[in-house]
Amino acid sequence: MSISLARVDDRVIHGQTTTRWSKTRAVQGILVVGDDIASDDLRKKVLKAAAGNLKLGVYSVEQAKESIPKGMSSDKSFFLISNSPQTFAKMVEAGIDIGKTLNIGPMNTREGAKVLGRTVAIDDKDYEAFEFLANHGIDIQFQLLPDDEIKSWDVMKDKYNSAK
Amino acid sequence: MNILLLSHGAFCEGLLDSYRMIAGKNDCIHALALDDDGIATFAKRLQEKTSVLLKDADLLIYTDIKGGTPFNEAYQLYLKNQEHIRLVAGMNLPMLIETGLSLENNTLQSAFELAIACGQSSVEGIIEEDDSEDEIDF
Repeated sequence: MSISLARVDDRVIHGQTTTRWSKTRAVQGILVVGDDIASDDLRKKVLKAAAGNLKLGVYSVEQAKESIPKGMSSDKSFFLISNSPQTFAKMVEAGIDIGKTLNIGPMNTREGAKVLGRTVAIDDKDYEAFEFLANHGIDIQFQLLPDDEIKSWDVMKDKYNSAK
Repeated sequence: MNILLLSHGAFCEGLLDSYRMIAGKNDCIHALALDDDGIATFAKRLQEKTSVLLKDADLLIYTDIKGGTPFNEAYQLYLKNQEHIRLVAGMNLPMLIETGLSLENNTLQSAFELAIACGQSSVEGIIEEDDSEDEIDF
């Protein structure tokens, strides 16, 4: 298995990723996918600094069609990170294998999003993306840090539907 | 093993708060601030705190600055109990994260050495990097 963690994280790479997840899962490099990130040179530089000693690749969804399968079949281990579940939905829609489990880290509050927890805010498009991924057999696990309790999409979905 | 953070004012409490944000809760890390109540009160609270923490474990003490009151008080404790206490001055967040996350895997001496190595190497000047040859190698 060479995508050792697939994760949604609106800050993409930061302390929690490099100090906590990298200690509990094998990782030699980080693959970041997002059309907005891939077209932003400044942001890529900042991510590279945040990745520290880990190798970094930043791809658009189009580029990911080629890169992610390479990561999947590599002997090395990679984290696959995007800042939005919608990007993961696009990847799956494009036929990219992202693994069986998707970890959900911080998704901070934005306009139009319902706040479902301290670090989880979801809007209608995110909801659709999670539904799409769940329907494609992907186990969606809301879990900020490796020691935290895992909450399933079913639980968060009920919260979303009962939230105003 | 426990870690005790000491500082002039609330630095130690803030450092622990920052640690929690990145690394999560850790019941083995404690903070004790020298506040406006003065040195005598601080020395007493430190005495009480360390005697509890040392009951069945070793203690790694981080202080904000060498020669300050928190350090001086801690140094006295160290001199009296060198078998079970190690003392580090100039604490920082990388040092705390590195040692806080590996408490179970380290002895007092190895955690002490790790703290110093990590604390020293984590201070660096940042300049824009050349990323021309930066293709990831699958």
